[in-house]
Amino acid sequence: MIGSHIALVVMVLYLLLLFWIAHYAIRLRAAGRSIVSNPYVYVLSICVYVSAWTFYGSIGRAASSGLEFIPIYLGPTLAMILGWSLVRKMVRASKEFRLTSISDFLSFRYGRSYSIGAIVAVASLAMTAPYVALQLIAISTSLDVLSGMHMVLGMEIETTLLVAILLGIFAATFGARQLDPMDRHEGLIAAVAFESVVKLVAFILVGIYVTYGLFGGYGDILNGISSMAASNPDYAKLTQVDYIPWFSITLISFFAVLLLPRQFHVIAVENSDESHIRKAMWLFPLYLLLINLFVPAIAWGGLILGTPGPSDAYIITIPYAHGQDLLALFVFIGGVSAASAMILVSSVAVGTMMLNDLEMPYLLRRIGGGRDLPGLLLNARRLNILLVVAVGYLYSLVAAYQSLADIGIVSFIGASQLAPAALLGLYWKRGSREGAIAGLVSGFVLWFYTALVPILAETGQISGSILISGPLGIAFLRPTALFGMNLDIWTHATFWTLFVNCTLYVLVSLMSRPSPEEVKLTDSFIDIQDSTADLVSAERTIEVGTVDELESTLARYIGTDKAKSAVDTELARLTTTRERIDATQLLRLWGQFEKILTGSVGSSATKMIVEESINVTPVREAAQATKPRYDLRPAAAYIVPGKAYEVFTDQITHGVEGLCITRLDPDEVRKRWGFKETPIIRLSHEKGGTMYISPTNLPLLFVTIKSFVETSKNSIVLIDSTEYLVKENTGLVPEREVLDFVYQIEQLSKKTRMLLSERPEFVHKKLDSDANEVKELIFTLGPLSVYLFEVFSSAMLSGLNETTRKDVVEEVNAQISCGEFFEGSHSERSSGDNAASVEKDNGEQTAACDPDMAEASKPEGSHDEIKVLPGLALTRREFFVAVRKLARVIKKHDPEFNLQVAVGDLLKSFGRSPYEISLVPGITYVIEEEKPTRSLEIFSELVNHGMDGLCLSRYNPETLSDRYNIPASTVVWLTQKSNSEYRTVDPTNFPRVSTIISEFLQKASYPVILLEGLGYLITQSNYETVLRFIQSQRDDIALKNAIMLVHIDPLSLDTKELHRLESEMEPLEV
Amino acid sequence: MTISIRELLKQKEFWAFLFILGMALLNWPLLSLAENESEIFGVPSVLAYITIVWLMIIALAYLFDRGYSG
Repeated sequence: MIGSHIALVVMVLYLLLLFWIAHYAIRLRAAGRSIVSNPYVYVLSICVYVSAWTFYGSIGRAASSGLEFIPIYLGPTLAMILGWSLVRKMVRASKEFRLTSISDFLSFRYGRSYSIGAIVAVASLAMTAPYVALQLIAISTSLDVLSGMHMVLGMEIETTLLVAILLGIFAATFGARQLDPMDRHEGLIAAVAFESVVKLVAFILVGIYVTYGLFGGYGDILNGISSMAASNPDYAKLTQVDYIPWFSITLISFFAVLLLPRQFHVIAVENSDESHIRKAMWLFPLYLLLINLFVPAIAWGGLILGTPGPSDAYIITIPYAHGQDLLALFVFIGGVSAASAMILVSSVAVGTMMLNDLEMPYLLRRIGGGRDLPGLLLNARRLNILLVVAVGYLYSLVAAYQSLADIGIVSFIGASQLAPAALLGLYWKRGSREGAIAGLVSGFVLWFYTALVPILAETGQISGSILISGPLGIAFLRPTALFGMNLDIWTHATFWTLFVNCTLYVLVSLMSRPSPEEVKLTDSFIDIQDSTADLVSAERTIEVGTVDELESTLARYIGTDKAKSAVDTELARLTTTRERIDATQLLRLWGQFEKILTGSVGSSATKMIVEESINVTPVREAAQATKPRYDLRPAAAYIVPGKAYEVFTDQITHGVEGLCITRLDPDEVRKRWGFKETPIIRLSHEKGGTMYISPTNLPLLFVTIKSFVETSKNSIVLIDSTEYLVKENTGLVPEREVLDFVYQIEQLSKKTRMLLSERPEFVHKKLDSDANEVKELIFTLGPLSVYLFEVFSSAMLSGLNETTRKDVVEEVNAQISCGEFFEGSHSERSSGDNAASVEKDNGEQTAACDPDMAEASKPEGSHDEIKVLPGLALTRREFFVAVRKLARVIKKHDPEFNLQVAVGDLLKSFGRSPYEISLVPGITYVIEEEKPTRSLEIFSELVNHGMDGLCLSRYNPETLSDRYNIPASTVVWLTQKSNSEYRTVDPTNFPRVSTIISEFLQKASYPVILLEGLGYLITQSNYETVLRFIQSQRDDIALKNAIMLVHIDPLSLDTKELHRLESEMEPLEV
Repeated sequence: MTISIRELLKQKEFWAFLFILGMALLNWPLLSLAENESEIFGVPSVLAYITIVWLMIIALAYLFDRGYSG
């Protein structure tokens, strides 16, 4: 007896070895030396077909019914004959459309049907359960042989359960590592290939041992059997063939080797190169032959030797009974290898199927894509994998009495039900979705009835009378003898299921008319051999515009980094860039985007995501002859408290095309305001029709608005309301996303009239008319400015180490609670009680700021995040001041901190120049460079990012506009010539220049002034005058909180003059 | 008329034919022909027959793989 835990320990060690192999393979792949993309590994992975069934079940079969174990391997051999035609077609279609499983395959073929995907996913779970059960039973039986009862943690645990738990955890950890868009599992395949080698070696070793060690060769065994046959007729039929089951088993194994979830996975999904199939055509049958070579020897040898115990376990009991402990252990590991490979691949394949084709589309409807979707999906996948093993375990409890081979056949017959839809569907274009559903459903129902019901009846789960007298006493509907057909149970089941399945598939397909979309899909699917044309539906107009939108939608499902690299790869393939992409390339990119998404979440889910894009066509209501009551600029954003719908209706009844986005009931809106045709989209979580968008689905909402605006020449959009959107997304969606949305709406306002219906309390601006134009939405609406600050602060804090971060946060939080951090630290401007609340705040604040009190009242958790007071709102100025303050605090603790680097990209993504952060309002800066190139570039950047600019330059405004993209309206030309086209000023007329500057400062809300040509001014008058001028302007600038940039060519002045000028201003590094 | 095994192996129709042939050879009635009491090298004729057909399939596939150039 091998020590009672040794076998278990060895098993665990072996599983750990597999982990290591997988890990090693992944590392090699990362280094570019993939060991998995080679034909031999491919073939070995297909050999996952050989599971514990071969080790135990085949031998049991051979011992009881002789040669009947063979057809299970003949089917696959015959299947490989069709390798280059049928199998290659299957593989090519799967790779072309990035199909991830057999359910995906079928779902895609029949028009990306959710129902088919779901049916196949559930059926796969059902058909895999017996197979998994078989493995568990086989392993636990041999474990029992080797080590007796199990005492784990002092309790007796049933071996099968123990094995199930062990393998379940193994599979869940192993199988779901990341949501790879390509969905190939490098490590998994490496492990499976390794296991195929181990099981072959183990089998051959024990075969040789039995044949040549215990007997004098094969002939010896055969003679022994013949002599036993002479005395006992039972043994005579061991070398006879029972033709009917022989045929049906060959047939169903032919189907099974291609369509079982794990088989489809390793053959098609994991295939990296079509040419590998050619190797598989001969190597796989060869492997099957070799591994079966000694099956009769072991089985019959066991009989001859009279080995005790079930014949299923001969492969272990024979060496064990003869004292060959080590060999028995090795064979045990061989069996573990075979079983774990099967469970691993199956549970991953079926788990993925359940997720992509059953659960995911449902999840999409509910969640709408918020939250950490990639993380959620990964965990869901792991749970599914565990589910598969669990169901297998449950089945093993039910079917414990059966011979292993019988358990497996049930699974095979189940797999065969996919054959008509899958295999005929590969060639027959008329095969339709309805036909497939009819065939699948009828096939599986009959399978349940003719194959599973008898088992349940035998074990007493249901009354046994059903087998004898039929359901409700109807004799010719007996599950094992339908309509009186008397065959062995398996052929009977095979015949009826396939017959009905096929017939219904063909008939219903002929009767149904597929939709044009399905036809197109089918054509490209079936013609996959003939052309490698892209499947691009040319009809889809480019509703979703830019690459960035595509990327962000993709990012929701596979994560931002993956999305970025996937998009970059595709762009490179199309040899274009984000900026230069043209319409055809964009269409292509769209096609690829669908494929990438399919590879990650399955085809029916992709269909949902893709088709969710809502079609809104601009429509004109009646155009009245009168003038509209409200005069709105055609491209601006307006905040309309209270009267939004009136204004909207007023505009659309005067020829403007409108889109209404509301949280109210669309029908009521229509009735009340009289829109007839204007599209109304409701913000709601329900899925009540095509015109509903979930408020948490900001990308979709934006994309819809954008496509509307792009397709209309004269449009107006009403959003009711941003406050609602912000509220609904709090806590669900990252703040950054909300900000991006609002910012993009702001950008869109340059192309349309954007009406925002908001409550005055939500807006930080005085609303004095019905329609108030507004420029900067983020600083005007609700908590958005605070979100922005939080986003910026986390970007700034992210680069710091733990301790520095903690210190900074603590200090900042302390300042915030004292009201010292934010400039106007009062709450949202509510109408009346401002004074009162400020006083109250001050009272509380002073208490908190009292040094003794401060220590005591330090809020919990003030060490992790910056806690902004609720209800705070920042103006743009306050925002930048706060950011700079934070930067100063950080710099105190970490002198290496560079503000521009930390937030430069962020600024750009909100349409601001990175320089804005370094320019403090109220300061005059000097830029020293020979030619004013950088100065002009910075000025141009700032002005084009929304600042109000004034440029005093000796260059011709036309030159400035051409070369530096500086709007001519901002330029005042320093020249003595007068010019009617441009604004000019005499450079000697300082009072005039001063006046121009102060007039500009009066009007501008966010001013920047560039004084270029100081050298020119100096030569035109003298140094002292200019210096005095600079000094007076500097004071003015400081008072008005503006920014002035002064350019100097340092070589044109001598050192003393330069120093004096420099002392008046701050240097700006460019 | 040139007879080329390589060309033969390249035809899709050949493999379809071979598949049907294989099904026929490995099932009744052709299989039953091999089922008699005789033995080849001590192996029951049925087993020997199956093994030979199996090996021939492997061989043809191997030739196809080796000779494949396109």
